[in-house]
Amino acid sequence: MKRSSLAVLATLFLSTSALAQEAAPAAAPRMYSVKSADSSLTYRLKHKLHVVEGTARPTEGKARLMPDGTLQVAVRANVADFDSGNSNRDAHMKEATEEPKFPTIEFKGTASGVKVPTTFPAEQTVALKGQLTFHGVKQPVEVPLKVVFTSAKDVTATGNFQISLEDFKVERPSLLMVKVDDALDLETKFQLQEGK
Amino acid sequence: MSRTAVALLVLLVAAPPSSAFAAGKKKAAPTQTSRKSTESKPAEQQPAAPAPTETKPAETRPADAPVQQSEEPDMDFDLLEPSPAAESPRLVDPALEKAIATRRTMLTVHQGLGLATLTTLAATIVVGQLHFNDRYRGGGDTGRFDAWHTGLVIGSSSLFAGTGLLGLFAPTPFKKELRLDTITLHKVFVSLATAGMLTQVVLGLVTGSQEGKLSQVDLATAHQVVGYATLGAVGAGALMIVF
Repeated sequence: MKRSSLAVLATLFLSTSALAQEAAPAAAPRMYSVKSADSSLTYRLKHKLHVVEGTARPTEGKARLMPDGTLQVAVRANVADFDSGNSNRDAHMKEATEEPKFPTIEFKGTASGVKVPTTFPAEQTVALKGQLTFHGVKQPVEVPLKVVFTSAKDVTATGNFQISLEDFKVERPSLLMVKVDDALDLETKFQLQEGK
Repeated sequence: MSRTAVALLVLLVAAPPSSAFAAGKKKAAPTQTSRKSTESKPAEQQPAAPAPTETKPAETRPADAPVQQSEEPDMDFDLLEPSPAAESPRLVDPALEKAIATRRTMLTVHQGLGLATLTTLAATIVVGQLHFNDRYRGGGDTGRFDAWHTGLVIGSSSLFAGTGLLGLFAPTPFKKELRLDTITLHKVFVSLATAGMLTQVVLGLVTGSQEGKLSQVDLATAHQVVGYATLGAVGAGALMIVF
């Protein structure tokens, strides 16, 4: 009786261990792609007379979630795609940001401790640290993201952060001789789907 | 203790602890995913980083608190197609750069002159109303506002024309689609204002030529109404650009 119990225990233990060994190779990084049509980047600029908002769809974006919880993110958008509802103002923004010289804006960042949840939907707050390249200038930025796993394959990430136009050497646009504030709010809404 | 029990104990001690599964994962990561050897660095360099957040998240911070991470994130990875455009400046046609600079100068002056036009036009309307009251509403017909009104008319008309020409002839280096937006409405309102200004000039001259005739009052009234409408159109045009 005693021997048989021990044998059962030993078998159980060994089989569990074997299962773990088998499962290990399956723990590969998860790649997510930004669905451009459902994603947006919105800038918000404050002027004494009004607040301006311009929105663009990212041209490309990817996220990789490592098995250890490290999240790597890269997103790119065209400066020319930002639409503020006023074509003249958009042209002015292109002038100010020297769009012909620097046509894209790129973000690359990482975070740690991100795990795919076991139940859905699930929400996580992630502090993404990275670099924003805009107007040919690379600056460190920190983006607090609210990540919602609607399923293991579908993720929504929203966040807000602020940059200084002068830090990126952008001459602040003006209206009626009054310049906009130096702070530019950026709001990100990304819809990601697992896959390359 | 029986031999079997001892064997089991030895197995337990020799068996990988709970971290064996995670270690297996870490080893698998570089070989399966890396596009270049450096891509797997985060997994290798920060093996202990996620541990605190995994082991006791509830005790150390609220559930929605931002996840902590090391000070300097490792940016040595490439997820997107290489594009030098974000960092390295592209070569730009000097003619395009010149057009951009010219446009900015012209539109900056356009805005300044536009504000001056609005102010001068408002003054013209006020003085015009006083002139109207003086002539046709029992003001004694002293003519004391006549010269002021004429001077302001010349000033506001010149400013209006100058502002319009600057806006009209500013180069457009960036292609713009025609659509109903606030700048289109600005153009609609200033077009109405242009029609109003032209009408005012004609009406003003005709009114002046009808001295002593009964129709002069009617013409002056029409001139007054069109004046207010023109000021309204200029004001609306100016307002459009702040939306």
